[in-house]
Amino acid sequence: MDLDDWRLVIVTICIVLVIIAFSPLIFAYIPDEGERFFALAILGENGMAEKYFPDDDADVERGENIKWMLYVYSHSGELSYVSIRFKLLNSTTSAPNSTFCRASAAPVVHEINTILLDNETLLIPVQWSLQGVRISENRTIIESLMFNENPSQVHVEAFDENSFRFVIELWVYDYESMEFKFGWASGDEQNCAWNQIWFNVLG
Amino acid sequence: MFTLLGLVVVVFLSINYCYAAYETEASVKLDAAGEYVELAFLSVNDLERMGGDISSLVVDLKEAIQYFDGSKHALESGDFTGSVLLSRKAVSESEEIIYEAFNLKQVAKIKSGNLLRNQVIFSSLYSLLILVLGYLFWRFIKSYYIRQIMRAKPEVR
Repeated sequence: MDLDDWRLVIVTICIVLVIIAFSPLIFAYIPDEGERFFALAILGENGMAEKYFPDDDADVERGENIKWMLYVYSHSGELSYVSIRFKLLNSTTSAPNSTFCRASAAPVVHEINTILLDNETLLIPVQWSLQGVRISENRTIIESLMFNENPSQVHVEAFDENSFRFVIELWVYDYESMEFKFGWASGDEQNCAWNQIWFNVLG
Repeated sequence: MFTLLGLVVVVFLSINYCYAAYETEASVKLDAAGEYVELAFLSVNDLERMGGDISSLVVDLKEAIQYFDGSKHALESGDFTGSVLLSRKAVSESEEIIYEAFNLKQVAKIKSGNLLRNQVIFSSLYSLLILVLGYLFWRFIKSYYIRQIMRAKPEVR
């Protein structure tokens, strides 16, 4: 190597080391583009994906206590304010639309609000029971139920059947619009999370 | 008879009016509590984005949200007194959180300013050291190179 080659090598190494020296400052101003997501699941009484109903029987009687565990996880990169909304639907009412992240139009029966740190998981116990039920020839009407020891007037009807479902939606507080929205933004995409569990009403 | 009937009607209407007024008051207080809780959350969120320590505030914020949820459920079940009480607790807790978050934001601002300044100073000094060492190494290589050339020159007699 002659002198010119040595000069080139030394200058190159110095430039690289100077860039490394300033890299913490550079990275501090580069935004984190990692994917934001939340996870929502309904688990059985024991925190597992089983035993959602006593004796695994989805036929629910009036006054029968049903216990579930609500699983919520946040990977949003920051503190999040979430609202988990329970809605009671029959088989014909529209469920939430995952493609366009549109919530179900059914009214909220019960709501649980909480905050989640980034990478935090919450297991929230939930219990409910049917209180006011009317069954006629071709109609089953749930008038009221008890949700986490709070009474709730509902009035949901099912015609020619006795099947109902709980739809559980995850709403996230949006920092920009300062209101709860169904789902969350991750880059240019809008994502949402919801669950449903079917059950039958016995007289 | 009619006087008595009139009296009964007036009492009945008054009770209904008071009930409605109390329900309205509880509902208004619940809405206010909801807004305060949202403001508290935004304050803590801002503090987190500034790099502040939010661990103690998160615990208080969860409590404020529980009061708010409790107030909402109490209102739905007709317990207006309970709802108003819990709304007041939610508001009080949220106000404390907002105040504390404001103080912590000032501390976080100073800390992040100091951190940036220290980072710039360290990076600049480190770069200067690299350049100086690089220059000294270049000088060493150059003088070594020249010495090697001089040694290789034949003696002139």
